Amino acid sequence: MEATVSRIKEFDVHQIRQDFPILQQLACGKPLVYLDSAASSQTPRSVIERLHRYQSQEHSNVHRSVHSLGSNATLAFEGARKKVAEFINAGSEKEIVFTRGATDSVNLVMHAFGRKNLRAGDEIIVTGLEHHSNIVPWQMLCEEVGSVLKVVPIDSRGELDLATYQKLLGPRTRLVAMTHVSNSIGTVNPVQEMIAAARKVGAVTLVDGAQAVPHMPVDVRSLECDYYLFSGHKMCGPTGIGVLYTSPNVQERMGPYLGGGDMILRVTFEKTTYNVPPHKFEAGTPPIASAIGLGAAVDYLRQVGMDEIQQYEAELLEYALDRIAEIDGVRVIGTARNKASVLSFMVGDVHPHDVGSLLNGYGVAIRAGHHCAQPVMDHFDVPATARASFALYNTLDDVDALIEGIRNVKRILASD
Amino acid sequence: MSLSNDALRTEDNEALILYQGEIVKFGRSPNNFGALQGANVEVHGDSPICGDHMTLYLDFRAATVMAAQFTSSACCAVCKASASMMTDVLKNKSLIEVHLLRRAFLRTIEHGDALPLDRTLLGPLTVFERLRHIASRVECAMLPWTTLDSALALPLMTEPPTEARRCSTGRLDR
Repeated sequence: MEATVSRIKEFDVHQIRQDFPILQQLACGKPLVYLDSAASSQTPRSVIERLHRYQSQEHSNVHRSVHSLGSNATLAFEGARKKVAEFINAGSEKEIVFTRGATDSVNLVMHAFGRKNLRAGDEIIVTGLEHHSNIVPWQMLCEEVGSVLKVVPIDSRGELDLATYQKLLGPRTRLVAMTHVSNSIGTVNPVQEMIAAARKVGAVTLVDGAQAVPHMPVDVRSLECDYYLFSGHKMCGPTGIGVLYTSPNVQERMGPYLGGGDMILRVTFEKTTYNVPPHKFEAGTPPIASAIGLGAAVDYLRQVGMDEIQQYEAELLEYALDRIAEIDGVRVIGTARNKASVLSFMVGDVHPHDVGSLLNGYGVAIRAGHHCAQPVMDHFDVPATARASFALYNTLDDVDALIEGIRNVKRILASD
Repeated sequence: MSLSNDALRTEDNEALILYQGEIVKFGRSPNNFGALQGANVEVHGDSPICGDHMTLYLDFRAATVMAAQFTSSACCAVCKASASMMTDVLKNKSLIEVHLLRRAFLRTIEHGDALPLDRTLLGPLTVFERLRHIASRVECAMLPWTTLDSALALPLMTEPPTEARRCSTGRLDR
């Protein structure tokens, strides 16, 4: 533990915490311990100020106006796209589509790629670790076109059964949709290996990176995935903005998503010619401020350093796992060997909602519920879990507060 | 923390106060827990928000609740306490009295404070006034009552059925 503490000190988390105004407040009369970043992360001052500056001094619509405000707003908006492209090492900003969030990104692929390319009998593979947003759109597509959904099972640790995955891949596999990091139990999936296997059978690959991008370096060209998607609000950015990386390989196989302004080159009553990507997939006025705010969030994360964040959070998680193991009757749900920033647990027979409510009373904000991953809950035979999730601004003291809170929950509610 | 009284510690906040007195007592050890032998109404209740499931059993004869029990496979302490206290108070109540109780409970949850007459009617159930500052747990306390709604919506039967009536309920408008 000594080495862990000294490395954590080098990261200077206390300096980082000063960047997050919301962390300076009390919750239920106690210092706020925010452990719900997997649901939504907090926002640094630089992002808040960028949003304020844009909205108070720079706002105009993008892509249309010839006046200075319009030109500058367009430059800032497209500049944010370039920042995102560089952040995940996309080949070009033209591969970055702005969406409303990760869920919207999956639905975009379902509509624009899935409905155009999949037919009856084609197969879609998802994993047993998916968030509902990477299950339901594919079920809807299967219902519509008669494709078949197949699921990579998970084992008792919460790791994917890769041998079964290899067997599921076949000549009818058209799409493999996988999460990079499980939102409910934190398993980090071997997506590079899975993408390579999918490519061998000619399947298109989609990676849900909503829980990965805020916590580790991501290089989409190294991964060689076709789609990679994530949300702004889980990576210190604003809500209402998401990203869909689309490789040039699949862009030309996609139809439009929503119809409207900006996604067209020319409209007549006889025929509409669609714009080129990424604009083809961005109908209507986009969330301009949120996109620019996301660009500022990217700046912030790059300044801290994604390698450093990954290492720091790994040490934080290790410390949390060690500390929670000290408490009798607490069961950690998901014990994958490669795990990131998420700690799901049960406190004896206490319902997770009671755990969450009581921890809130001690100033500790966690998530309780099925985390939009009911198949994972079914696998572990629990209705829900309590979930603490960490981010770059959490400390060892936060972990200690969580552990102290869990001890109090046990004292108040757990059966003897 | 004492389980035998409802004295509130001054340093505690609403979230901690919720788990004192009757709520923690019946949340841990509910009354009327278990399937009711001879029940002629059996209704399942689910809360899609919490993932809670419960089953309410009534022995309902001559427009009167003769007995009420419940089971739950996945209910929180707030839900169990609510179900425990509700089934306690339902016993030997006529259909009209049950409706009055139900209305009083909903009104209390909605307004956060029980009216004087409702307070008399509800007795210990007034403890759920504490939810006035904890909106996220209202659904938990409501699940037994929305399940009761479904039970009361079933057609009345004058004779005990050969098989328990079953239905499922989700969140109902209050």
